[in-house]
Amino acid sequence: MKYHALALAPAAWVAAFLVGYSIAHDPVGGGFVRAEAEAVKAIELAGCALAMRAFSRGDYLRRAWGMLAGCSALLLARDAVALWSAQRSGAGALLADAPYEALRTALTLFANLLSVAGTFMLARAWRVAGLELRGTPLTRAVVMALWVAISAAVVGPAVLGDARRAFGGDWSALRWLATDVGDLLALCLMAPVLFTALTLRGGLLRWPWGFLATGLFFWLLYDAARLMGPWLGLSAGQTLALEESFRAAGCLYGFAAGAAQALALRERAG
Amino acid sequence: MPGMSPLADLLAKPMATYLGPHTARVAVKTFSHKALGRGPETLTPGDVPALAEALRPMVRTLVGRETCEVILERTRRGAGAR
Repeated sequence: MKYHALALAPAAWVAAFLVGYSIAHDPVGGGFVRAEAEAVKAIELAGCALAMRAFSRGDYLRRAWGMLAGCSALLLARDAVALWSAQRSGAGALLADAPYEALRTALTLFANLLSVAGTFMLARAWRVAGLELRGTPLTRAVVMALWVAISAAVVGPAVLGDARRAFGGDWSALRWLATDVGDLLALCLMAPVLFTALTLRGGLLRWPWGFLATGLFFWLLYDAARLMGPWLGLSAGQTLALEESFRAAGCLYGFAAGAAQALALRERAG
Repeated sequence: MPGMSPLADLLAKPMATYLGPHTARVAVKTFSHKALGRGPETLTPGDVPALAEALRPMVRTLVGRETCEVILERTRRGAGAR
């Protein structure tokens, strides 16, 4: 029951967000959208921290969840720096653009490194444990190749565009490049995470891996939303609402994965 | 699962809560071959401590040290009570 509630909560949140968005008339992503985006990141951080704390020091998955928690914390710190800097600049402060941009880029880069490393550890937990994944090696290879191709098709153009801008001297594009590359690498890991969830079918541990795979799927949709918006004939405001809905679902399934991990380990007392 | 003795099923049971019944049985089978060089159908109560030790790294990776000890204790107790 608890796990089913975790599965349904993101849908309820997204529905509430869309109602709020339509009432707030915030088509350019002002205060309402910003606040919602930071709230889901904070919730994801809480989920990953719960999972991390459920393990003991030295446990393999404690490090994995710790890295994902670190990613969320760094992204929140990056956004706090942006907000603080914008307020100071507004008040006539002498905070130069370059150091501020460099700090945001560094935080984004480290956050994405942690995200990829943490997801990688969760994706290969089965191998570290010495388990055999479900499905034939051929089926797994085909699904993984297909998923990598889909991820590359969705995120690849953004990676190339940002790389061109960055190498052309636009250093602000580095931050976006770090995000895109981090997204691409993490998304490529969805297939092994999904196979792990399938392998653990019928057990409590299917929930954290299942939620993690679902979250990664929504991150793919988040990256695809910008491409999908014009293609679907959506306005800029509607595209933004779509993007933010997918971001919220991605973050909240990240929370659900962490919470499910902590709950599963607590079941031993029962 | 074919080739599983009642003892092997009993050993898989505490892990099944976390790993699911199929994967828990596969784990007993895999580690029985790795640690004892024999299939799970040949397991005897005397094999349980060695098998539990062989399972430890796998279980610990997935559920952490504390839960791993609870599971392995249940595994040993379940087999001993047989």
